Amino acid sequence: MKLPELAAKIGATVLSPGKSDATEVTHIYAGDRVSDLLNQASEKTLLVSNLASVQMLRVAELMDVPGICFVENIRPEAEIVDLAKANRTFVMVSPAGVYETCGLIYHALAAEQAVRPIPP
Amino acid sequence: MDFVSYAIEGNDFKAAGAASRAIKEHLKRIGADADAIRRTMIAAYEAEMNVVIHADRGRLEASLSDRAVNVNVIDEGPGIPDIRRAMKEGFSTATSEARALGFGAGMGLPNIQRNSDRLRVSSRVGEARASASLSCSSRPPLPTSSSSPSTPRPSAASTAIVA
Repeated sequence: MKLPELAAKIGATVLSPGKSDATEVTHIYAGDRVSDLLNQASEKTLLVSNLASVQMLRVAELMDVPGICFVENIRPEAEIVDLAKANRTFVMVSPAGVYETCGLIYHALAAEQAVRPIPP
Repeated sequence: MDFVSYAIEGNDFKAAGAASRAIKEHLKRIGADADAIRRTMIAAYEAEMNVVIHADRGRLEASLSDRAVNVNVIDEGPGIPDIRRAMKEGFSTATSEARALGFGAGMGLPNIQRNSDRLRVSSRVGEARASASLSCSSRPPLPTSSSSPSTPRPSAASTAIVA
């Protein structure tokens, strides 16, 4: 599922639009330890975290992560949003906590899988 | 083979990662493969953050080609009293400030080791200097069907630790 569509389905606010071709993510990882986020990051991964810091954007930049979802209505500083826009990293903020946000993402992706036509 | 060098300032969490980013851009320019770039980024970034978190200042030096990367990180700080203990997952002496930013899980050195073909760490407490050298290569693995018993296989990570 493409990130803007996922944001709409889980009720998240988009702070940075990311790349114009709207990358599709196939892997979700939630965590608050940078070392774990590094290991799980990829160009198809959405990172879910409460670490609204410059270093989260750095991890995304180094590992080609297309998008980050912050939780609990965290409002990152303007500097972080500006860096996300400059790097074309998609950033959204979920009003829910980590557990509920992951549940919402899971159901959104599962629903998409259920309706996606089976290829011949 | 290209050689680069970057200064790292201790406790500067805003600028942290800049050296690793510069290395990534360099590797992309010279055509290094994606796997080598990924492993190098994890190892280099963890090494760079170790300087930011634990040292006063340091330097990241690298020799780069499209086939291999060698990174050497030297810092000035309190040193590592027990390197073997520092290599254990979960062990950390990071400050509360660093932990609040998601660091200090005690995974830095193990992460570097996992993503390096070779890692060497040396430190002398009291001399305010520690260094870590790691190398990553993008050479393909030897084919299993044609390997002879005497053919050496590349190891995922080999470590020589000098305390």
